[in-house]
Amino acid sequence: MLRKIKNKMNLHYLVLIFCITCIFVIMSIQSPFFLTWNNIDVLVNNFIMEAIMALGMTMVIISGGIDISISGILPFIAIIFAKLMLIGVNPWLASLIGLVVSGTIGLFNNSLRHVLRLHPMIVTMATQLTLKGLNLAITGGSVLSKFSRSFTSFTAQRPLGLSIPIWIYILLAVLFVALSKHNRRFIHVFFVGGSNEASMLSGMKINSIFRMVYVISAILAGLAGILSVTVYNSASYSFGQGVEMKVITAVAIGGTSLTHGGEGSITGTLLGTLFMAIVYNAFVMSGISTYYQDVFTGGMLIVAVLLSEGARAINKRTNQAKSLIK
Amino acid sequence: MTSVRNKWLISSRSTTLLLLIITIFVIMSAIKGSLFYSSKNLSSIFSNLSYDMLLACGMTFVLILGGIDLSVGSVLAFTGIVVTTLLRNGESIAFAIGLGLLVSMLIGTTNGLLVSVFNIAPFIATLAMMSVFRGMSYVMTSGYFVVGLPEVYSSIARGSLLGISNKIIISVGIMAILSFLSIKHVSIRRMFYVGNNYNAAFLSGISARKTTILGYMICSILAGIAGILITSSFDMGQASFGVGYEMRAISAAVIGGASMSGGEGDFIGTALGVILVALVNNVFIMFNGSPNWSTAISGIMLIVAVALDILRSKRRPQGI
Amino acid sequence: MGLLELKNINKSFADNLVLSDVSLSFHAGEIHSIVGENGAGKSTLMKIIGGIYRADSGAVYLNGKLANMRNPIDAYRAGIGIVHQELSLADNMTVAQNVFANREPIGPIGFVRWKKLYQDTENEFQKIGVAIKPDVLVKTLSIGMQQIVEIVKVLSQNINILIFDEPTSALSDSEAQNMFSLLVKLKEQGKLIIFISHKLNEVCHISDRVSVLRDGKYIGTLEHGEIEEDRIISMMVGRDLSNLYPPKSSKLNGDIVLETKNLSRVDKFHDVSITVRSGEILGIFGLVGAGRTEFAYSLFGADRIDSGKVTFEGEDVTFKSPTDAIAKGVCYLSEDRKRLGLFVNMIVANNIVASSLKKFINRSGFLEFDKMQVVSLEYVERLNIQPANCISNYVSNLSGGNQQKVLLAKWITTNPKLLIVDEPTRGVDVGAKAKIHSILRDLAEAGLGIIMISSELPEILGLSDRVAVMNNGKLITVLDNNDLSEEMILNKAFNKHVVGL
Repeated sequence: MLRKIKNKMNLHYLVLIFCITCIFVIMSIQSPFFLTWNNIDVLVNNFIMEAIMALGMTMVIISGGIDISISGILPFIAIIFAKLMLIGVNPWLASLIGLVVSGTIGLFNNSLRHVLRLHPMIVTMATQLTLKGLNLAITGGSVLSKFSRSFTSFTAQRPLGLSIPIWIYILLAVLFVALSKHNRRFIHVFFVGGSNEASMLSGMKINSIFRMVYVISAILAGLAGILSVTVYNSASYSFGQGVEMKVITAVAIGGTSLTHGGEGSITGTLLGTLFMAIVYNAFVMSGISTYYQDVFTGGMLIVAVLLSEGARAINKRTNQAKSLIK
Repeated sequence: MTSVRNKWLISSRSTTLLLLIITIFVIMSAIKGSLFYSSKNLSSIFSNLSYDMLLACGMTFVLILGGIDLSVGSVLAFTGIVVTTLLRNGESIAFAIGLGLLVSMLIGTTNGLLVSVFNIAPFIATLAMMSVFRGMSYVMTSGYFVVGLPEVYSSIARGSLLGISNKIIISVGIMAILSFLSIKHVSIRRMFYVGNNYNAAFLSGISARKTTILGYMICSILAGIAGILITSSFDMGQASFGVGYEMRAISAAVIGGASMSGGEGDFIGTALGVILVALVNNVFIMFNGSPNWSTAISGIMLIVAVALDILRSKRRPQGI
Repeated sequence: MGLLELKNINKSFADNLVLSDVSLSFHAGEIHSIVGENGAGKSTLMKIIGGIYRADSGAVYLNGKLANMRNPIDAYRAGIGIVHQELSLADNMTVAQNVFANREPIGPIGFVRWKKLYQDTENEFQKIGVAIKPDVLVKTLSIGMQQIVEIVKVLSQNINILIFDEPTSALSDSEAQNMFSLLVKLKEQGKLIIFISHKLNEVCHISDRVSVLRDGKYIGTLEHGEIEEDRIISMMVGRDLSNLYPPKSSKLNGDIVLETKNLSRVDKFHDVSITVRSGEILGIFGLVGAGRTEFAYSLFGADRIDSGKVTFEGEDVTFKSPTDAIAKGVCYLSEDRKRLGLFVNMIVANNIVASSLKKFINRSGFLEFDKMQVVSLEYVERLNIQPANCISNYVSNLSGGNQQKVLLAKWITTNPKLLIVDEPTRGVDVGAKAKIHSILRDLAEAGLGIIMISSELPEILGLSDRVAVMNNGKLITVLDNNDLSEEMILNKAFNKHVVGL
């Protein structure tokens, strides 16, 4: 029995790996530039912020929620970070402040959700909108740049040939895989997502588990904001447009269920992220308009949800009475 | 006898909203004087009103059904681009508009099918559709404006009748018709039943699925009409039209009395909600000076509106 | 002195007295069954012991000391655990994670010590002699095995008193057998097992003592050696039929309204053949899970029919949806008033017209409010819905009995030929109950065929003209209601349910 279920999850991984390999092979044949170190570097760096945020989003979705405020948090923290540096604050201190602020936003998301008993979609949508407005208002629509020479040369470092965001991502990915598999608090996230009632009867403090996932998600979005500043040496309100869609889609492709909490894994998300990164790169390489990215993202989200819910959905269609009998 | 009718027809919410709007108007006129009630400022308040009215009206249907539609802003842009592209290619206005409305109707039907037949949570399904059609808009235009439209087309929205701009007449007219229908027409009344208790509606012989699809369909068509008005008014199609409009629509509908948990909604309330949101935005700008705040205000108003909705439903007697 | 003593427990919900002056005593090392009809107060009593409800008056003594339990966690600390009818497991997690939920052994940085967790889990299962892989996901287990996981979860918390609420209702025969041997083992370890079941043969098989409740009162306890099914049934019933019920049908040989032939739905009911004549009330009795409601759903088009034939008013029909059924004149009053019947946040008048909106529209689909209002008022008066001026009140403000009348009005408005009512008087006070019974009888006299599904024997006997008994998805028998007694029906409903002991 155990083997069966493990196989089912593994099957999902295998299919993803197969798809990724296929695209890889096709692209390598089609374009001589695809397999160059330069392009791999571009491929990875282009999706790195999404990849970082997908780790937090996975935990939020496993808990049965969703967080679309990240596309407001990312530019907001980038702007705060940039503003602080421009007035001469030490970059490390500015980063710390940025992370604390983003964590506070996560706390705020969860409090609204908890106190008003609102769907997290509505709460985080409102937060997103408010922050986006703030970003525009703070910057007046202009781009913040002109940081000190020492900062720009520090962030341009590439230890062992990998950029700083990639190193941070590798660390985070390892950490999250380990935590999600072995840490008690993280395992409780799966528990709460699977059954609120069982968790409550087992004496878990449900709200503190939710609080953890929303804070993590917000902090990772803040981190992505800070890293964006280091990458682009600027901060703009337009950072992170539509990033929440890409992140949610990567998580959904990775096999985490958007409709039933408690099902999913960080490993799946890593694969889903890689898949998205390669497809986006393939778009660029094949000369297809990048505008197709949004279409593709939305389409993939629907397909991913339909695939994971397919069996259940068809079952319900033939038998509406199922929802009638408890 | 009349008391029953009143409960059937009029909500006390609308009276409160109306009073609130008048109060803001009076206070602002007193403080800011002609700066506020100058025709320039008033027309800036009302510039987006007609689109918001249509979107919020459509959103009210979906909220009544207990759903949500995040794709309206994208549908607005996409329909506008379909219509303007057809016009630029020399098709007749009637054909272009007809096809545009058909496209928006099909998108709405897809939304409804995804939600009611495939049981995808409404916000996920419509979030994905939002992304798809925003992307399609950019794909079709490659990010360029669609210009070179026949002059007659722009006169649809820009013209005026008795001094009132056509687009206001059209949107308010549609709103009024739908609000009348919502009270009296059986297929819209059914939405209230479905939103109130999906299973009970199904067991009462109301086709819950068809009703849901109809709701999403109307919502998209209204967004399509807004798309036609906005392209006509700007005399061009643009892929970035309508970004973030869905939030304003939700805020306005909820402020107007639609409940996030379904089964409730009032079109006159929604219309007043739209005006209130526009007015608050304007007040904020008058004091602060920067129109950049308007998105943030929509966000805050959404939270406040929903929070009030929750408090209200807590007060309502529940249960057997 | 018993391990657990209940003294003079009283409990009422709203005005409804559910437990009245119940005193009971339980000993360590016994299996003590509590039996009674639906609504006798068994579950409420168990929830008071488990700390889920608090008694209005009376006391619970543990080992002679007064125990004051305010919530389930207090009860756990006192060594009392309930194995619920609905499982409280997270089925996406492993067995070990469920058994030790929130009590996982952890290392210094909050990492779970898997080896110890699995070892502990295996040990817990070994105590009851069950071998299980601790890293198996719960959803891959059979219901019976899940039940055992639930039991182990409770047992692993140092529990002396175990309450089982209908533990076998979802189990297969062999799974039930396994569970019984487990219960005996636990008893031999000196634990007190309180067992609640509808299945009297199981009760007789495993109990050391059996206590009977009826209408919230304690009737008596049978000691080991006195336990016999007949004796239990006579203690459970013992109620005289008063004249509360309207007279029986005056015309028993009306036309056949509905006939089903070998109607089946996989896993729900099999080969059910019944006839309903106009002017009669056919009662369908059965225990919870007998397949009555599922049968009604399929008749009403809310669920599919896998095989069999339905003839309605002489023609073969298949209803694809409730809409079809209602159009032909079949209506179904649900047992779950709030979840499946009422539009709670709408006014009474809107609820009354919900199923017959088509009757109130003109040619272009516009509703005629005046007509709706007249009809609503008419039914409020006819069915005596209180308060009399309620048609513009929210239906949530009415009492349970009046809400039920609103639902009846909703169906009568559609002019049905066949009315299926499912537990029509559940949660309804005595006065409204009598009124609903007389409404049903009046409707039958007016020519309707009525199917009444009920778990309340007095209601079945008092109101039906014929009684169909269902068990385990099958129709056992259809009896004419002449000189029927509760014992006769209960025997039919119970005795067929041989678990093969």
